Formats: sequence, structure tokens, C-alpha cells
Amino acid sequence: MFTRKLQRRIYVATGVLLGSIGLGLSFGAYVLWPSHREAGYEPGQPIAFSHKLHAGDLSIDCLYCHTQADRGPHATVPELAICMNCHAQVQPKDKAGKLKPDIARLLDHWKRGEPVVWNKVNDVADFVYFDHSRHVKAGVKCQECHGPVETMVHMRREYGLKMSWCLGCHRQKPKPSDPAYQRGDKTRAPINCSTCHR
Amino acid sequence: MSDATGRTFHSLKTMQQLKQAALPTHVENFEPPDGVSRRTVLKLMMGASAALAAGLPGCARKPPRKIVSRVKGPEYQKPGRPLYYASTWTAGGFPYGVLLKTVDGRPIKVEGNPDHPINRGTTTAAMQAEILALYDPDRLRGPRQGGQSLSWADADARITAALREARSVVLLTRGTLGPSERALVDEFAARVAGFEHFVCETVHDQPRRQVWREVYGADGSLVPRFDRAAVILSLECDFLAGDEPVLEHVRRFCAGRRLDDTNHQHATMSRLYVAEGPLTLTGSNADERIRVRSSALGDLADSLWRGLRGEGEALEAFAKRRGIDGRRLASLAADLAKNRQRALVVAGGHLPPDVHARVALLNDELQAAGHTLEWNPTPHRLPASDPAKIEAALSAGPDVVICLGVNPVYDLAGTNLAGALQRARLSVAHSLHADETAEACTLTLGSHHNFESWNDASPRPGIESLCQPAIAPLFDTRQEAESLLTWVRALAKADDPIRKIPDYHAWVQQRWFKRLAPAAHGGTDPAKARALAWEECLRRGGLFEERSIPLPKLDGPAAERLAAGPSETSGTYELVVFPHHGVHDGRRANNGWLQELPDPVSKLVWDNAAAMSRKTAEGLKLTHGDLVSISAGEEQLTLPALVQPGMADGVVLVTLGHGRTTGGVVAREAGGVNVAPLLRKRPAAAGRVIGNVQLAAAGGRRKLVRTQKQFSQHDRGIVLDGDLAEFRHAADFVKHKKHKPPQADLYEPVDYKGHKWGMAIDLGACIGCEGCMIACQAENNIPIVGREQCDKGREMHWIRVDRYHDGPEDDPRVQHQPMLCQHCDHAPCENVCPVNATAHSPEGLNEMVYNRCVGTRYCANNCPYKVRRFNFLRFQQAQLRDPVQELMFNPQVTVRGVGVMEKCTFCVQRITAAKHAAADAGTPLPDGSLKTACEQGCPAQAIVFGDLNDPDSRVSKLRASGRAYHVLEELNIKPNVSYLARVRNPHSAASPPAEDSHGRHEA
Repeated sequence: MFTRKLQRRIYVATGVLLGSIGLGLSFGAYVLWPSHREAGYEPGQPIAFSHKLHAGDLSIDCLYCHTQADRGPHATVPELAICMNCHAQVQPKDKAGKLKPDIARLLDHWKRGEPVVWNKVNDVADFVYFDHSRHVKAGVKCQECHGPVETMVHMRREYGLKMSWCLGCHRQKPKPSDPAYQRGDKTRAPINCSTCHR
Repeated sequence: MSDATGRTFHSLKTMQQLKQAALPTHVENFEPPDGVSRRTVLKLMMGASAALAAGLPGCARKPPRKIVSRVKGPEYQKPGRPLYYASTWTAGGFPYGVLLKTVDGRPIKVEGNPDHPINRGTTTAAMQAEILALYDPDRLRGPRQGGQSLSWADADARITAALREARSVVLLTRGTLGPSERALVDEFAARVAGFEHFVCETVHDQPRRQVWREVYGADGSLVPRFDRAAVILSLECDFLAGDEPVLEHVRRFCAGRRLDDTNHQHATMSRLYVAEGPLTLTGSNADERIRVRSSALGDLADSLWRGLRGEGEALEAFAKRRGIDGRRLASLAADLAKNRQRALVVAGGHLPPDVHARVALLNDELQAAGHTLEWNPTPHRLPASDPAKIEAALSAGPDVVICLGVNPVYDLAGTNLAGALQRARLSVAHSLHADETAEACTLTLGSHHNFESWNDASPRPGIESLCQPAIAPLFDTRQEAESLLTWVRALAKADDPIRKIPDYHAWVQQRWFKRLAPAAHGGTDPAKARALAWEECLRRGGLFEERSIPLPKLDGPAAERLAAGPSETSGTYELVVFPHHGVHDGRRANNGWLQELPDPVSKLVWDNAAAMSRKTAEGLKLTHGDLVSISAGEEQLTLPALVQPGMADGVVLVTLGHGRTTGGVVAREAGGVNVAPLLRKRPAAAGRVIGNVQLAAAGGRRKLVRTQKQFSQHDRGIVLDGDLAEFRHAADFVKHKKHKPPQADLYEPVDYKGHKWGMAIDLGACIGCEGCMIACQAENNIPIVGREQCDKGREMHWIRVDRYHDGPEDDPRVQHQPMLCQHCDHAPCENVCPVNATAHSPEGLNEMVYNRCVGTRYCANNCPYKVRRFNFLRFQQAQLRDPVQELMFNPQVTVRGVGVMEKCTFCVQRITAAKHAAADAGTPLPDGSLKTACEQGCPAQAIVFGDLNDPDSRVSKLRASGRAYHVLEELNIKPNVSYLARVRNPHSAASPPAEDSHGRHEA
């Protein structure tokens, strides 16, 4: 009854079971580990630019620096020339009268004509075709996707930017003020695949 | 029950209650789904595995990404948004106007310039494929000497030193030099000793040009007005595919054949007669095709001429002499006689001079001048040099040989040109690739691509076309003309004004400023006004004033003298040499898109072959794919035989451009044999019809890979056509051509609000040129797969052109049909997808979501049109990893990976962009402002895309036409691509009695 064949089978089955549990656990740990695709991702930056100072305390409009957000697919990281609009004059120094290190770094880049390589914070997958201007023009506030940027000293990824999260808004019933409502659409924004994937 | 798009479908019970009378039996026998839908079952079954499969790639962790800002960017260039540069395609046989679409500073697509009077916004396949050539990683990346790279300064120093000492200098160029380039060649000639200039072109119309110069008394070329002709006779002139300017010819030809449904009783269209040996694309579009050997065409033109002048028996005698059916000839003669001033005869540039002299006489007899024929006194091409003269000049041992953008070692293969180049004190090859000539030369210089260069072209009086770069040079290369200017400057004396010209851009500008001077006189500051005028020319792509110039008077005696000239004897077999439809004379051989573009007639890819009729092949005991040895004079080569319906018996067609030994990975790996040696002993003016050829079975076989294996429609009515008489009788004649079984719907109708996209393809306009295929390939990042994968049927083209032969094999009625995803309302692919990766949009698009696809290929199996393509291998991987090639991709379209299904999206990225633009402007989307890539490039304007919900849109009107039908309509899957049946205009008395025997299957 309890033949060698059966014994071998039990061994194999147990092995497979344990193996798959182990694989599953490590896979799960891998997925759950915080990464740059997860909410809360907050990388260091080559220049410690504070959104709190610029957008919060000084109330500079988002579009002043991110010039294309209402015009094109990319919001665009500002050109150094935009930084220099102010920082050609505004050059804070420390008590010893030396330029603050981050300002010095900016001026150095500007002098050498070398772009700053930032770490990307809010990033969607390559197969998502996201267009900033559509959202800005539809009256979506920057903070709805980027979080309270004006309070962030270090830029942080507020939301995971997963598809279900996008659809959370897109699937909402349109408000009477929305163009979608006037078109007679059932949702606030289109939810067919090619809206984002093509 | 309903699916994701809100589409509902009935249970069978409600189905049976429906009033639709006849249900197909297989639906009645189907068990009703009891509570659980098939969809739910599939969902449960596939859930776990789908989640795993879909989850895995998403979880592959990539390193954090960088984002780089500009320091100070140009104001006009916005990230992610396209910017267009008007330029000129000078690398082809004829300069056409192009708009280069650039995104983030890199050109990604070639579009036609709508302002350019020759092509008016249309493109050819070769033009579209130039994008691939620009980012070709095999391009030369700088000057090289004996395998070592050196600087441009060193190379220039070597060359100028050698030029100063040289007693004889040979310059080899292409025939298509622009005015600025020609002026530069003259400057160069004036400054070197013993200068000789040769034009190295294998494909040219030298016999024709030479005759025209003598009979019309001036150098120039004919401009045929196909739009004004009622009867067109083409003597082996492939004016729809090879005879430049093709794009103008196609537009004018189609203009003479457009049909209007509303006035169908009085519809008129031109009638195209084609007399030819091989089956050309033009011949495949003929209303009446006369299958006759190429060597008999002079005789035919002569007999027609005699017939028109009252010698009634001439034609009958010709028919008897050549053993062909006289009825078509008689109707041709009658048509020509009836339509003087409205008839036109054209002959292929490869035919011997006596044919052209006879055609000139014939056109004169038909009073074509001033009506259907105009004149172009500025031939844009330099006369091609005789191969023997080039060989002699190089063998004589010149001190310096400079090859600018030409490949004589390949073009004149069989001679010892490589040895001659090595014997020269200095030989320079200036080209895009390390080709055969570059291997033989001491110095190799890398050239700019067309789209990195400044240039100009003047193909006709009044048309001055400017070529501007759309990207900074990718490699350490230099434009050929720039090099020439550098050497001229170095050779010039100290006080020579040419020393002040800093670069070729300034050289072009200087010529243009002279030209623009009258336009710029208005302003107060002439320099500023001139600069403004120049800017305006750059913006528009040139100066375009269309002028028509009458044909000079024919010198009758000269024409008769030339017509009586010696004509070659033909023997049992004769050979016709044509350029390849894609790689031309081999210059585009490293372009994979063009290698994989099937031959429009034979559908052969990656190869060339000897096409012959079945009777010819059987006479030699050959079957399709058997190797045949071809000897002409001393030359002998071996090619696989391709059995091609419609060929005249005894005529063999071979194409140039294959059998490259070097010049890039693709050029080398592509199959085929170089047939250029057959032409090297012939003077340029003798043409490319070679008589007295010996053919013999060589033993052995080569598999010929074709993208289509079945050429018969099997009575399925896939391509519908009719005669003009039928159309006049009833505009909706197609309705009677095909029985439509009663149909019932499984689904409730969907109300498409807003837009509903659809397409109409006019088969009457489509000439089968396959320009749409490459336009689509460039727009949608479509990979090539290579010969071996093509053989397995794995080619990836989203749009293809199907070709069918109806009727007898000797005299087939050829049908061309572009086939793409039909975006069916009841798409059979959608309901078999287990992961919902293909679904319907509220605008009627059948959408494909690559990141959701798990590659079951159920959809492709269920598609009756076979338009879905599967990524069996990592076709794009190499390009994505190549730092140069990855720049080529359209950033608006996903690059698909292995294991993913893909297909036509109706250019959804263009739809989105157009909708956004209209929303920003606050206007409804105007009809015609949104064009798919295939529609935009189509030379015949056969494809129309638009909104079916707009009753005034062009596509709605075409769909309502009587000629409109759907392919496989009986399946009731409600395609959104309508085809308009082709209307032919045969002569009522010409054809043999209709017997609808269908084409035999081919090997």
C-alpha cells in the first residue's frame, strides 16, 4: 500500500508545496518592499530644492516653473534659465558670507551650462500615455495627484499612481460643471483602454 | 449580460423571440448558457494565471529613473510635442517635398509636403523608409583610412595635397545633383587638372532622353498629363511604380479615373492600355493588357502609327507576326483614332531608342502636344555615363578618384574596378555605408543622411525645392557637397571669392539670395528682406510656382530616321532588367523595411528572382524555385525561377539591387544575386532589354519567400469589381455580385455617441504600391522579422496589400486590396480574449492593450481577416538597446515586446492628438484634419478615414456609395472598413468571351 512510488510522490508533493510557499513569500516580500514605484518614495536630490519654500511660503504658481503642464504632455522640469530668473539676484549667503551650498551648486551648473540630473519622483509605467495638459485643463488640481507639494521640503511620491487609483477619478460620476456631463457621458473621464494605453 | 464596454447581448431565449427570420442552424443547436456565462467561466479559469502573468512584468523592479532638465532650451521646441520641418527628399530618383516630423529634436516620421506641387503631401514607400536609414547603425561614423579612423582635417589635407599634384582626376557622382551641387562640381572642375566627371547610375532613362533631345531639339523630358487623357497606352512604362515622378503620375492618373455615384449614368474615366512583356504594377492596373514581348514594342508602336495613318493592315499583320489576339489591338487602334488630342502614349525609359522615336511619331499623330503632353526643359537628372567609359577611365590609372555617394564597384560588378581603384594614387569613397567601393578605396568618408543635409533641387522651371536638416549630424560625418566645397576652397587662390564661403549652407544660400533678390526688393533693408524671404522659403520648403510649358515641335524626319534605326534581335529568350521596388539599384539595400516590403506583383521578400511565365518555365523543365542559369554574352548568373502569371512567354524579368557583399548587416544578409553585370557592356543609351539570352536549368533550388501564398479568391468575392458599363447601369452593381445570406445579431445594437471612426478604401483608386505599409511601419514602430520568419508567416505589417489573380493565368485580372484591422463592431477577436486585452472603445475602435496581453493568440485565430500580428520573438530588442536606433521610435506608440499580440489601431495616437487639438481650439473636429498614417501617405488618395457619425464626412459619403461593400460581409461581424468596388473600363469588343476560369494555385 505505502509503496515506494507513493512515498516518492509524497516527497515530491511536499517539496513542491514548500518550494512554492517559499517562492510566494519571497515574491510577496519583494513586491511589498518600498520602491520608487510606491507611495512615500522620497529620493535625495542633487540640489535640495524645497517645494515648501517656493510653492508654499513664497506662493509661486506651479506653472511658473512647470511651464508646459497646461500645454503639453509633460509638465517639464524647469530649465535652469527659469531658476536663474530669480536666482540671478536672489543668492542667499550663510553667516560667514559664503553662498549657501545648494545655491552655489545651481550657479555652478548654470556657469558650466550643465543640466542637473534629478531623481524622478512621480513616475508612471512606460505603457501609460499620461498627458498633463488634459488634466490641468479639466480643472484637476496638481495636488490631486501630487499631494500637498507646497508643504514638502523634500519632494515625495504621495500616491502609488496605480491604474485602479487613476480609474478612481475617471470612473466618478461627472459633476454638472464637467464637460463630460454636458456630453452625456456616464463617467467623469473616459475609461476605455486607449485613453491611456496605445 | 453585459461586457466591459456596456455592450449587452441577449440570451438565446430572447434571441429566438426576435423577429429576424432565419437563424443560422449552428446557433439553434447551441445550448443556452445556464446562469453562468462563458465569460465568467473563462474569468475564473484564467484568473490566477492571468494575475500571475500580468503581475510579473509589473513587479520587475527597475532602478529609479533620472530626469534631466535643459539649461536653456529653444523656445519653439516643447517636450513631447511634434515640430515639423519642410525639406526635400533628394536621395531618390526625383526630388519630392517632405515634412519631417520631429519630437524632442529627433525626426521620427516622413510626411509629404502638401505645398509641394509635384507630390502634394503624398509619399512613396522609399521616402517613408528614409527614417530607418537615418538611424541606421551600420552607417559610416567618420573618415577612415585602411581600417584606422582619422580626423577630417587630416583627411582633407591628404586629399587636397593629392589633388594639387594630380594630373588626372575622376569624379563619380549620382545623376540627381541639385543646382547648387552642380555649380560646385563646375568650380571643382575648374581647379583640378585632367578632370573627368562620370554619372554612375544603373537605373536611368538615357535612351528616351537621347531621343527626345534629337526629336524635340532640346534637352528635357516629357510631362505626361494622365489626368487629361481619355486613352492611355503604356509601352512597358511602369509610370505608377518606377517611372519618376511617380507621385505626380499616380495623382494625375487617379484624377482621370475618379467616379461620382450621383451621376453614374454619365460616368467617364480614362482607359489604360498596357502593352508589356513582364507584369509590372502599371500593367496590373490596366483596363486592357496586351501581353507581348518587350522586343516587339517598337514593332507595335510602328504598326499603330501606320494604322493611324491609314495603313489598315499594319496591325493585323503585327498580330499575326507576333501570334497575339488581334481584338485588343484593334480596339486600341480604334480608341486612339477616335481620341486624337485626348490620347497619350508613354514608353518605359529602359526600352531601346527606336521605340521612343516611334512613340514620338505616334504622339505627334495623336496631336498629344499641348493637350496630353507638356515639356520640362530642366531635366533634373544628369545623363548617365556608359559603364564601359567609366571602366575605361578608371582602368587608365587616374591619379585621384573621388566617388561621391556612388557605389561603382557594385554597379559595375564583374569588371576589375576594385583593382583599378587600388592602383590610383588616391581613391576616395564618400558614402553612407562601408560599401563595396569603400572597401576598395584608400580613404573612406562618411556622408550625412539626406535629413542632416542642406541642399536644393530644381526639378522643373518654377519649382525650387529646399532641403534643410531636421537633426544635427548623428555621427562624425560630412555632407558630400560640403567636402567638395572644402576641397575647392583649399585649392582656390588666396583672392578667390569662394574662399569666403564658410560652408555649404552658405553656398546654397548665396544661390538662393540671387534667386530671391527680386522678391526681397520691397523692404528698406535689402539684407533683412532677403533673410526674411529665405526664412519663408525654408518654412514652405521652397519656391513653388507651377508653370506648364508646351512641347517643342517634333522634328519628324529626325524621328523617322531614329525610328528606322537598328533594333536588337531578341532570340528565344529576352531579359528585362528593372530596379527593385524597394532597394532600387541597391543603394537602399541596408534598409530592412524595404527588404521586407513584398514585391507588389510577386509578393517576394528579401530576394530577387527570374520571373517568367509558366509556359516558359515548363519549356525549360523548371518549376517555381528551381535555379536557372542565365547567360547573356559573356555574363552568366544563376537565379531562382519565379513563375509569374501574366508574363509574356520568352520574357524573363530580373531586378537590380540584391547580392550585396557588404554595406551593412541587412544588405549582406539579404538574399539575391546582383544582376548589374548583365548591363556593364551595354551603352547607357541601349536600354535594359537584353535579347538573345540563353536559359538553362542549373539544378538545385532556392526557397522563394512570399508573404502571400494563395493568389486565388476561390469565388469568395473578397475583391469585387465591375465594368464601367455595369456602373453606368447601376451605381450599386456590387449588390448583385454577391449573395448576402439573411443575418441576425447576437448582440443588441450599440449606440455610439460622439465619434464613430471608420475607413473607406477605394479599390478603384488603389494601385497596390504598398506605400501605406511603410507609412504604417514608421508611424507605429513595427519591427521587421527577416526572411526566415517571413517564411513562417510571422511578418508584422499592420496593413498589407493582398493581391489576387482572377481569370486565366496567361491573362490575369490582377486585384490589389489593402487589408488591415477592420475594427468590427462585433469583433470576433474580442470575445475570445481571456484577459480582456482587446476590447471595444465607445468610439468604435477595436483596442489592443499590450500590457494586458498574455499571448494566447486566440484573437488571431478567430480573426477572419488575419490581420493580427504576434511577437513570436524579441524583434525589437536589438533596436531598443542600440543608442542610435532607439531614437527612431515614435514616442507616442508602445514598442511591443515578445509574446504580445498587436494590430492596426486606426492610429489611435493621432486620433487622441487631433481630439485634444480640437478641444483646445474649442471647435468640433473638422473632417479631414485627422488622417491615419496610411491615408496620409497614399499617393492615390485611396484611403479615407473619418467620423461615421458625421453624415457630411467624406468617409460617411463613401460608405453610402453604391460601390461600398464589406469584405466577408456574410460573417455579420460588421466591419468598419468599407471597400469601394473597383470599376474597370475595358473596351467592349476587346476581351475574349468571358469564361471565369480561376487562376491556378501557385507553388
